[in-house]
Amino acid sequence: MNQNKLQIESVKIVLENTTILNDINFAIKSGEIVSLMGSSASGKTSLIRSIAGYQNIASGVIKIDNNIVDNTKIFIGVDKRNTGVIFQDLALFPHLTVRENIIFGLYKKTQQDKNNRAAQLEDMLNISSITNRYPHQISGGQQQRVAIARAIAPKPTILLLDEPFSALDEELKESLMNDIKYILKKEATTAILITHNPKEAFTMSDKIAFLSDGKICQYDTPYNIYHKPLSKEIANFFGITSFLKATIKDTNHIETVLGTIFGNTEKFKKGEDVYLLIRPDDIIHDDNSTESARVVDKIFYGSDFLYKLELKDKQKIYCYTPSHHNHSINENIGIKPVIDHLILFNNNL
Amino acid sequence: MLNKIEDFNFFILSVFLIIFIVPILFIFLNIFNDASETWIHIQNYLLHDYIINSLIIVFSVAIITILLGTSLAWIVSMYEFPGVRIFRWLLIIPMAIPAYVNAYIYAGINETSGILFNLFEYYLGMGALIYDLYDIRNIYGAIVILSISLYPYVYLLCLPALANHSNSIFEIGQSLGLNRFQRLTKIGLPIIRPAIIAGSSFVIMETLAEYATMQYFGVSTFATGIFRSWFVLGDESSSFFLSSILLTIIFLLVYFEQISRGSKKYNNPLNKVSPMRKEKLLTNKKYILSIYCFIIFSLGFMIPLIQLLYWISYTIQETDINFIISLLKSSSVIAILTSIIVVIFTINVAYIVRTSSSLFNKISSKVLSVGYAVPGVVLAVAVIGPISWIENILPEVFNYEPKSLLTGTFVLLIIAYLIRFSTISLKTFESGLNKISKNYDLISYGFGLSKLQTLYKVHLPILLPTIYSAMILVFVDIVKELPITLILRPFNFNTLPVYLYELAESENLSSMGVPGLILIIICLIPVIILSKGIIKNESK
Amino acid sequence: MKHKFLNFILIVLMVVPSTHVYSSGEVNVYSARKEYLIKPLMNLFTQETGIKVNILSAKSKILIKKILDEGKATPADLLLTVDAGNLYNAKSKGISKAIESKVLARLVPHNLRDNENHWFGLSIRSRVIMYNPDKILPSEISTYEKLGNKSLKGRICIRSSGNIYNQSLMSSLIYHHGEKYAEEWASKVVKNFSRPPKGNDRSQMTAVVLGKCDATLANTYYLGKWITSKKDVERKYANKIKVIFPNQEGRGAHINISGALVIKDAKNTSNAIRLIEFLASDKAQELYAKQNHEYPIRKNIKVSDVVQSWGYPFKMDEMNLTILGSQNARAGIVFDKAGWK
Repeated sequence: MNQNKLQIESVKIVLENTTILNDINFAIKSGEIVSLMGSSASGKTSLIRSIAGYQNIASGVIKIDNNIVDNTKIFIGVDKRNTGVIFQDLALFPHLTVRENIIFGLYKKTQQDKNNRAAQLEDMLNISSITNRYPHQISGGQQQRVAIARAIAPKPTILLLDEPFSALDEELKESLMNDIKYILKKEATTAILITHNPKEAFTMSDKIAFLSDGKICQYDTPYNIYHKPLSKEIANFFGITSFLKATIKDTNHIETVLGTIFGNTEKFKKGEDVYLLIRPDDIIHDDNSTESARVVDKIFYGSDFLYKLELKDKQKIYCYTPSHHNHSINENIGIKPVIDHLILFNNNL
Repeated sequence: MLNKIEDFNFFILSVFLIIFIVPILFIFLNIFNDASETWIHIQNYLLHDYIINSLIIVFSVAIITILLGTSLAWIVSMYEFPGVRIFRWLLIIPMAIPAYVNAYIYAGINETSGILFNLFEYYLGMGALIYDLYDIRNIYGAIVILSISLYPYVYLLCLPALANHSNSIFEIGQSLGLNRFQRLTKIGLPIIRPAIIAGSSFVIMETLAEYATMQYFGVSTFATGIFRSWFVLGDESSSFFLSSILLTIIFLLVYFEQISRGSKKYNNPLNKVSPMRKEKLLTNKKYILSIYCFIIFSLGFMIPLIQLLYWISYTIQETDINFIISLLKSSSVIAILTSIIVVIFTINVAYIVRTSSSLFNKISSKVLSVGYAVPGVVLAVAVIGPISWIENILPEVFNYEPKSLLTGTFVLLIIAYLIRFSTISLKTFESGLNKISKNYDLISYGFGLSKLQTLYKVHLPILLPTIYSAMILVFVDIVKELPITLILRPFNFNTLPVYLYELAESENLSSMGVPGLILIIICLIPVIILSKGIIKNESK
Repeated sequence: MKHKFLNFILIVLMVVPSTHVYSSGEVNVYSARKEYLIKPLMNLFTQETGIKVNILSAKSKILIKKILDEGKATPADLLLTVDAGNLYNAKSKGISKAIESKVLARLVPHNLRDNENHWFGLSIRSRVIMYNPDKILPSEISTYEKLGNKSLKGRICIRSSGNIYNQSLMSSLIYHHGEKYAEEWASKVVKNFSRPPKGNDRSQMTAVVLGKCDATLANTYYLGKWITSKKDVERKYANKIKVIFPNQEGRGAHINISGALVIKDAKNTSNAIRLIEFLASDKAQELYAKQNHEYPIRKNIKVSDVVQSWGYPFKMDEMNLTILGSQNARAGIVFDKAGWK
């Protein structure tokens, strides 16, 4: 039975007399990797620190493994919660070797067990060759791996990572993300990851929680967050968006400048003015189409072009097209909307 | 053209090397002389005391200053408690009071002119009780005085060591299950270990070199022994013997400190550091920390200051302010002059080493930077020795009426200051120049500038703040210097410290108020600049 | 080029300050008396004669050693110091020379100068007994010798034997009574100590006032310092302690001097002699003694009111102070044997 590893109920977090987070509710199942996202100062770090126990909550309950760790009356200290932490500045112990860093949290085990566990993790993270080096002698990427190994070694109930990849360059990020996901899954570690990079979130997580305005706006799989964002902010956050003006025709159709588009309009009333979320991949280049738009900008991405197009009524939308369709600025190209389901917003979202 | 400069540099370096080495060599060469009767007397009766006392004092002061310095640095870095922000830099301030000033002040506190005595006498009529309660003039008193005077050096070094690592490191420790005490012992102490070692080495060196405090308190140590055998017993060779022993111990200490510091591993590998998040203490325990800081600060600064002000309050009218001002002038002029010389000299040396790191240059700079390790008393006798010998030999060689050429002039004094205080200036410039990437030099040469022009057009402008710091540090060190000045000063020359020494000798403690206060104010200047600098650097 | 220039400046800066002290109108004084004490007098001398006085002050032993080290090249012309013992010591080390001066022969009493005219006394102090009149009668301590009386057990405190004032007193006792007596006397006095020797004369005086002991030995000028002290408590103490000049029925109270000698290798001998003559002159005597609450070397000079207050004139031990110095070494041994720390 997949128990809830972490349960957050009606949690309110206050920092220096300001309410940062108000009424947070969510739960993470054992073994899940969840990304915590949102604009800066949206409270991601405070939430993590409260889960770890560096901060206490103003109201609500945090339960780990069904045990209350903080309900404002009971408070279990950090050193007793067995949560693993990885900070942005890594904070490796400079006076200890890689191996000694990794086994640091294993002081209750025998020397044999410590070494075995460390060797296992070093192997999984490809850092066996540097086991006797000191942190100042290894590269940034390697330091990152050591930090992970150190946090995971004592098999923490939850692993909390605060922007672990932000300091790395693209290439390192790729390989590291893969290795980490592998090791987390192998160890069946429950993890919460703070990141501001949608790509990281998509790659690593089972679920994404989006924080805004002091609460969780959406808690869903990466796919759903991308394709069914609940607000314009979320939509913007996770990809390039354009919003096309539309009017509700009936329960199954909307009217736009690109013509009538089929889709579910249940939530809205006939005749209402709405906005349709358009992702660049929702528009395809079709020379046979009746509708066309003028190219106003283009960016080369290797396999694709991202075209910025101006429609008849001067609205702008984006379109991904395979790059062998090389059109110049001011050219008119034929386009066709291919939208699976309608994501509609009125002005409030 | 290039060769000429290299040759000139070599010449200059050699001259200075000779100035530095000859006195020290003179001391060690003396070992080969036969032991005099006085030495045998010393060996039999006094050497034992010198060794035991020096060991006890050094050991005790080292331990106390480490405990004080580390604990204070720890609590002001890790915790929020009432006054923590202000105590953080206040606790450095006691550094401005030289140890001997503290010695005189605390000796006077329970005497008839002291605040403690008068408080008890005035309000309780119990002056006699306080007068007899304790006598600070012994080895235990010396330990206490040196500890409160020297702990700031350990404290000062531990602060950036802790600030260099944000408390992520401790929070990680927390998450890995360590309680507060374990975090201190398994994480905190190891990472400030180099700072502790550097700080305590310095403290030990200063303790071994301390003369005036020991002499006033009647404690026999190497420093007093060296002085006494030369001037009281009249036996130079014994003095040199003792100096050799002391210098050997100190050089060994310096060597060990260098080795143990070697590893760069204590630097934070990542350059970015998130600011320290301090733990807010909620219980009444936080007041204990405030009180602790307050007590140490009082002992180190407030109480001495109050005693000085008290002395001033009833001597102010009879104080010959002109005399004090003339002392100040003497102190300042010689200090400024010497600091200029020292700065010019050390910037040359640092630059020579930077531009051409030949073995000779490297060794030279190492030798030249050991000057600080030589205690003032030893240095003074080391300078007198060769000079007297020269001045008495030359007349015979060149057949003229014997007269003093250098004795009785400022030259000896300045040479001794140069030897002792070049170290700090040299190190300041070394680190300052290191921060300037060699690329600047290359670009400059690329534009056709010579090494010299590069120095003046590129490096000096960047180094200006460093030059100021070096000058200030040397200036204050000279102003508060005592043993060398006492022994080597020329005619009509008196400084604030020497005047204080004379007052103490004639048991005229109450007149120390004004000169003592002025001396402390001068010494405060660099301390405040230094502490502000450190606090500012940390908040970056 | 600027490099060379800078280093040249360096060298110049170092050489120039070695301004020399060899112009004809100067005299170089090594003084064990603190500079601020003697400066006013020296200024007066310069005003009168136009001769500049250069002063270096340090402890007596240090100055003597310095002169010895400097050898023939010494810049010192004159040594000003305190205590006949120190003067004798300096002479015995060979750093002084005999002075022919009719003025000094006239101005300085015979017992206050070296019998070979190497050094000359310039002020007098006396080592007297100071006591608490509420606790002890003057008759119990009217002589130094009485300090050894059993009736004074636990009522005496005196400073350590390492101090030269005590050594000189001991020298005088050895001279007057012989070494054996001196040693017995010292042992008896030690038995009368209320506490082991600790602190200086003023500490002993304070101990008397505070009731820790009834009497002590101290130099007269210390009382002067208390009387003129800015501190209330010290002036109060001055009123509570009394002075008795010992041995007034006999040989007189023990006295000692501050004095001067001319350095053997002096470069400004005549100026040095002139300075000593000046310090022995009437005008200077009054000032010189008053400065430190001491007595002038001639009875016709007026003493300060402060000094008068505890009694003047008094009978002084007229022994020749040259002999005092010569006994100093024995004094140390006697103290050691008697256990007087």
